[in-house]
Amino acid sequence: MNSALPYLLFNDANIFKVLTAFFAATTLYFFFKWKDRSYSKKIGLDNLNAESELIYMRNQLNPHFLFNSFNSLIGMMEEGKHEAGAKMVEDLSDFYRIILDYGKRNLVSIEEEFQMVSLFVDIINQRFDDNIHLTISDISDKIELPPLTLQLLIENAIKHNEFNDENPLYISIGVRDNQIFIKNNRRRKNYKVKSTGNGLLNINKRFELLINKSIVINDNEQYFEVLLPII
Amino acid sequence: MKIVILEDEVLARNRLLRMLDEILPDHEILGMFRSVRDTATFLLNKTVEPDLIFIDIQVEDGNSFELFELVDIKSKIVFVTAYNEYAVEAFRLNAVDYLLKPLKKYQLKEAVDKAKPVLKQSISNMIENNGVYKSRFLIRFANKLHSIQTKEIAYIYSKNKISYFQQWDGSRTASDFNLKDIEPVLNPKHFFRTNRQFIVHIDSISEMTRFGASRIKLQLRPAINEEIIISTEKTKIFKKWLEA
Repeated sequence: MNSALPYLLFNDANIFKVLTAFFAATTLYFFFKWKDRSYSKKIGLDNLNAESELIYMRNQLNPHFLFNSFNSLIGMMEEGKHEAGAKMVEDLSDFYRIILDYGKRNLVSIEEEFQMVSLFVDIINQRFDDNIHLTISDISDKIELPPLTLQLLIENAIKHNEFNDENPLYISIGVRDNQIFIKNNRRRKNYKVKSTGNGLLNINKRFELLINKSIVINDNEQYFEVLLPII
Repeated sequence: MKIVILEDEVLARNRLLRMLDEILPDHEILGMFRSVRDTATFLLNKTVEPDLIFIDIQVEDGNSFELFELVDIKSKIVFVTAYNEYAVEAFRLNAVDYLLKPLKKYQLKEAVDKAKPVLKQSISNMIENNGVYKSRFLIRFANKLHSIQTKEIAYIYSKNKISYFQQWDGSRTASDFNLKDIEPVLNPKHFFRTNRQFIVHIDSISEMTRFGASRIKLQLRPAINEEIIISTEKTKIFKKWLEA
């Protein structure tokens, strides 16, 4: 049965839409890659060192996230999960469109970041059986922060913690005591993850450059929390 | 080929399994795991050595290179990952191949082929050593011995790890032979391995019907209540064999 599925799928009108979106996502990716060059130059001017600049760039592009998603998408097509596949392409498109819209901005609104991390978590959840629970408290204030700050912190939470059906990952974001908090339950991955720690350093540097304030990190056995000063 | 899979994402794992069904019908999955921990536990307590292990690099409980610190692995390794930055480390661990996601069938096939040269050699050795194909089988099963002439065999099939020699006269003899070992000692002009389960004599095929886009379904005589489907991969060789 399995081997015949892809051929059947390609005759389906739905799949044409999926493929079109797929192609669009790829185009967006390369367009961004090109656009990113001038952006990283700008950061270089902001005194960020070359190494963290590279980490930042790679985080923005997130190629393994894209390729893993593509692999899952092909799986969905082969298994005839049209709706889930279409949803993933839509989410991916919206996600990368936000990155593109960020362009050369130094600050973005917290709503934009929320939207972006929600999309990111939705996509990851489609691959990992809804094991990430993201809670975002209502924030009406017009808070701004450096682009991709929340994104990077969410990625870190996913990268460093073990989660599955029995032990989901809980991430909450909100504002408390005039600070933005991003908090997750701690269940460290047993086998060390290749990590440079530059992500957090990079976020800190940006806040220091912008408002001369540092971020606060609370790391213990129960939870991991980052507090961002409000700009 | 005995296979173990370390992959924490269900969709990715299912894709790999589907591809393996197509390109390597004669495989057996010994275990599938989502974490380094579970894979290590399995490998430390295993009774059968896997031939090949597929490993995703970032899995549920961390980086799977750690597996090599926990277990002395003798099996062939193929990494399957969306990350391109681990290739050097992978080859230091003597990996057979390093495949990037999205996974492609032809690349997986190349990797699998690289992983099985020893098997290929052992088959060719058998043929060389014998020089001729077997004209008679001595079948031992439980405490009985049977001698069957090859010309009496309509087809051979395995079910629940037992191989049955189906004879033209309708009788059937059970054996503990492995189809994999029988295949090379039969004359390929007369016998064809249709899939994991069956080796059929050309004259035992009573009916052929198209099945799906590119597969063929067989009816055999003496009749048997099993589906015999020739995979897409084998259909071409099968047609050639029929015309030879």
